[in-house]
Amino acid sequence: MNTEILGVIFTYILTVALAIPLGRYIGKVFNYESTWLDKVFNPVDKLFFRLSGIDAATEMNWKQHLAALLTINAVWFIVSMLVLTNMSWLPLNPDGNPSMPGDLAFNTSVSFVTNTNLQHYSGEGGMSYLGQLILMLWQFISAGTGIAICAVVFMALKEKTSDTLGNFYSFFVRSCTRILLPITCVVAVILVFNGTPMTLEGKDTMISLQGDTVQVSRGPVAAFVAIKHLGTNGGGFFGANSAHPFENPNYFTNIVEITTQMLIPMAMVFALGFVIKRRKLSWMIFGVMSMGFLILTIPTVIAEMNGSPAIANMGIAQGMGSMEGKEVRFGAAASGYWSIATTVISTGSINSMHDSFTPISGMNQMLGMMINAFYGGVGVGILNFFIFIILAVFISGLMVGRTPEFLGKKIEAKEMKIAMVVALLHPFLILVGTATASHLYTGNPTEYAGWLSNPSHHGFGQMLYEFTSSSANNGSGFEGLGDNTPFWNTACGLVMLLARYLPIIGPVAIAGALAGKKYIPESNGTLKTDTATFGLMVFAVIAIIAALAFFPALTLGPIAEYFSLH
Amino acid sequence: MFSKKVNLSIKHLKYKHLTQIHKSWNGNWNVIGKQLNTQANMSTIIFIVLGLLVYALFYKFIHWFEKI
Repeated sequence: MNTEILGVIFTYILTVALAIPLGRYIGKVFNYESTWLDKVFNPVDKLFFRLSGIDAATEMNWKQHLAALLTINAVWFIVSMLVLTNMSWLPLNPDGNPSMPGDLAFNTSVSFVTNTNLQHYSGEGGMSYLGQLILMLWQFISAGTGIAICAVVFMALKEKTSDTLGNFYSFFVRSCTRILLPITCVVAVILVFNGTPMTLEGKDTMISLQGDTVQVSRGPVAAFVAIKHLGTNGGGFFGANSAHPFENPNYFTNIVEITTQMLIPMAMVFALGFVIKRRKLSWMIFGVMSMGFLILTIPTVIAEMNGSPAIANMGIAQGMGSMEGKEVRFGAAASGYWSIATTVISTGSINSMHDSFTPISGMNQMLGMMINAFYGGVGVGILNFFIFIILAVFISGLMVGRTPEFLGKKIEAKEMKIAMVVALLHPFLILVGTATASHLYTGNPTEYAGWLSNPSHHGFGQMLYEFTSSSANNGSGFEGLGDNTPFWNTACGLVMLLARYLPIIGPVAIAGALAGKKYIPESNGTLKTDTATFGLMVFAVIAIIAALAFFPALTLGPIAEYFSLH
Repeated sequence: MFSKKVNLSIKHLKYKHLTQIHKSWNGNWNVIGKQLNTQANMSTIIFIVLGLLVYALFYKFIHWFEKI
């Protein structure tokens, strides 16, 4: 078998093999069972709570959890705005990079606080080291927020009837100290030993092979890259993200980084089973997610390995596959695999330019973000999938003529209304945003000529991708789009905010409502939700919603581009 | 020293600037963006307020989802 394909298969199997024990560990962390890291981090937790004056033993209801989450995020948003708009004169700016204008600072602050990491700037020339370190902190906070709120939903899905669901601050701190920090340290050390810089010194000078003297940017890259992947953040230290040799030096680090970014989203699925003691349900969810992931991955890897017909028509050999925009050290297969992994989960880091992928691959990347529930981001991936489960339970209940129930709790009108609002929000934001941008561009193509590097089908795809990436809190981009403009900075900022918090508020509100309901023991008449049949039903619901909502837009973009090439 | 450097110094705000932005608006986002960013402190405050308004909206959503 082709060694490139073997590399991809090995990476996926390695990720699953690591995710299962990590899921068990995360389950222990949120069930407050003892773990081997307790001795190290219990004193740290206590010190944090003593300094902040928080009583971690106080039980909170679902509204208090959400209020805590929003308050933490709003405060960090303001801090981020102040730092980014003043970093030119603040410390740790050895390269003398400028402060950001308001619109770009808004986009960047929202982007990192919401775990999106959409970057309308280039790290080398647009960010001081203080700015990078602040963004690194947000990468911990946004990921910790996602894991903590997911833990709240886990608590709500336990069999007992309760209005209180643990303490958000406790979940948040444990997410950071017990899960994110230790693994980040391990990954960062691996990257340092493979050549990734970790320094606060400014640019270095080197002489290139042709004798030119060039300035090379560096910085605290290894730590940044480690949490960028582990927290499914995705924001690169450098503009080229993980295609840059300092961020991703070789094929081994490529395996490490791609495994790291998929690790927690997969592990959270297994953690659900351990926390609520329903492992069969976890395997059903994992099966559906994996089926969706492979359906998008396999055609993409094949399409990239087969090469680009447009380049082949120019008489250029495509023996190595479609290599425009890809790094030779990774190859077509690993780049294709990464492109789907990073869009299916909400990382958004890249090791190759998505703008250069074949149209089918571009469509699959967008579909991964449009569905946004095949593994998904840390914590929020499960919440998105939870919405699809609620919809599938309701539809299945109607089909078999029974009252819809999930885990012994009745699904009623209130839960369905919230689920529908959340399910429709994602396509609404993407399609309305893309339609607005298209209207502006076609109304004044001369003024907005800088937006699109490729007008026509691909240009439409670039705009569709940008809003899809923002709404999925993904952060990757079809880099042909000139996106550092007031319109894109403001519009994408607003979309990122709405698309981050409403899909958190909705599922937590549903979970809170379910937790307060009377538990009904399963009987022969109960619709079983941990079977393969129900898994297929959930998959069908996802496919139908995605197809109905996004197929027309995809037809105008990548599908039309595919037929124009063939 | 601090007020000279921090972009958010209140005394530097010119509320007439908002009127200028309004007058320059002709449906062109590039023009309004340039106008907005000519005064960094105003631009920063406007975008902080915008962000906080959206966060406030989410608190309303919590109550709305409770009563829906």
